Amino acid sequence: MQRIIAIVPALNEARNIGTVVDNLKKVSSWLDVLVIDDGSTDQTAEVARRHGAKVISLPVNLGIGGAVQTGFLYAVRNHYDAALQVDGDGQHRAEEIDKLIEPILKDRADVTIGSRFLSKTAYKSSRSRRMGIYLLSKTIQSVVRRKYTDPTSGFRAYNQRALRMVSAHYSTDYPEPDAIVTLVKNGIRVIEVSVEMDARISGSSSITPFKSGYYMFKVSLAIILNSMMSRIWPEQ
Amino acid sequence: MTRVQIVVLIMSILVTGFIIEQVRQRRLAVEYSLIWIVAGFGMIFLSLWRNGIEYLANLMGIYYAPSAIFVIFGVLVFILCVHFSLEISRLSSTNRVLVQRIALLEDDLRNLQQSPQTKSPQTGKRKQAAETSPHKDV
Repeated sequence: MQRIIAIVPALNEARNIGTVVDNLKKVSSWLDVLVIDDGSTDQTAEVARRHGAKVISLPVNLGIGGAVQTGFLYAVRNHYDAALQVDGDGQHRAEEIDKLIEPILKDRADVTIGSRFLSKTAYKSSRSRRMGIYLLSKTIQSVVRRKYTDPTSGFRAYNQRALRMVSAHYSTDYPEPDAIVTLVKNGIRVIEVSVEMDARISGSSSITPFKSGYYMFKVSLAIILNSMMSRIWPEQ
Repeated sequence: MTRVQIVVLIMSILVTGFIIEQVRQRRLAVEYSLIWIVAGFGMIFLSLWRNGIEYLANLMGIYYAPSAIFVIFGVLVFILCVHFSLEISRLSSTNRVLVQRIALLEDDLRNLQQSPQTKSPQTGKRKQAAETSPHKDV
């Protein structure tokens, strides 16, 4: 039996985290659920623990990248065969995790990314957000010569090989689009899988429209710089 | 192109190239390189743009064009300093929290080592307190 862990980064998600953990446990009882509490000021850690998840509380807020990377380190340290990354806000449906895990277990890919746009799904989003995602997708395509339709998706699965890399190198501010470039450039097989996603259960997303222009600029530049970086394992 | 333009252009390209090379070698984090890359490209742009400084000076209502350089330079340095001050504040506050957390964990560890067979509920409570309390003052 393969050991698989679900890593759930959460910052002040006390209202959603219980449902998220329950859904994960209900759909796949064999899954170990690890909530990374990224320095929340509310009851996120207590709620998650009460619902039966293992919780690691970071003493300071590291940002989504640092939180998720803590989970990767935990997975590598405890020799998990694969790790899932699921957002703590309830956007990602637990029923869809099999689609992500299957290519990993069959060794058809090292990393799978759940995409809302690969084929037509019920997911609705604003025009500006779709526009931003489209631009990021094009930027990534221009540096890795492969198409990723949903580069900001944080619904992902990793095998051990990929985990060793992301546990060592993962950016803190805008990790999702960056990671695709770093992984592909280092010879990791990254594929997209079509999944359904929901809108958030409650609360607001970490990316506000006010910051999104600056965010787009930063991420695009980071993607280009990342594509030029030296390889992580030059011997391979 | 005048001679001064060529000199400035070469210097700007060297600076920008140096920054990009540091990022490429993973010595400079992408987050901290952005401001330098933008400044570097700004310098390259100004060196290519003939009479650019005169135009900008005119725009700002400065009669003596070279003083526009000092104004732009001053503003850039000011922004950088504020940026670094913010960053240092954040670092020192996270550092304080980390030191406190380690001290509390060491205390917990010592308590556990002193009473290996009795897992008293008190230790558990203390541990929980150590986990939750540092958040509040961040």
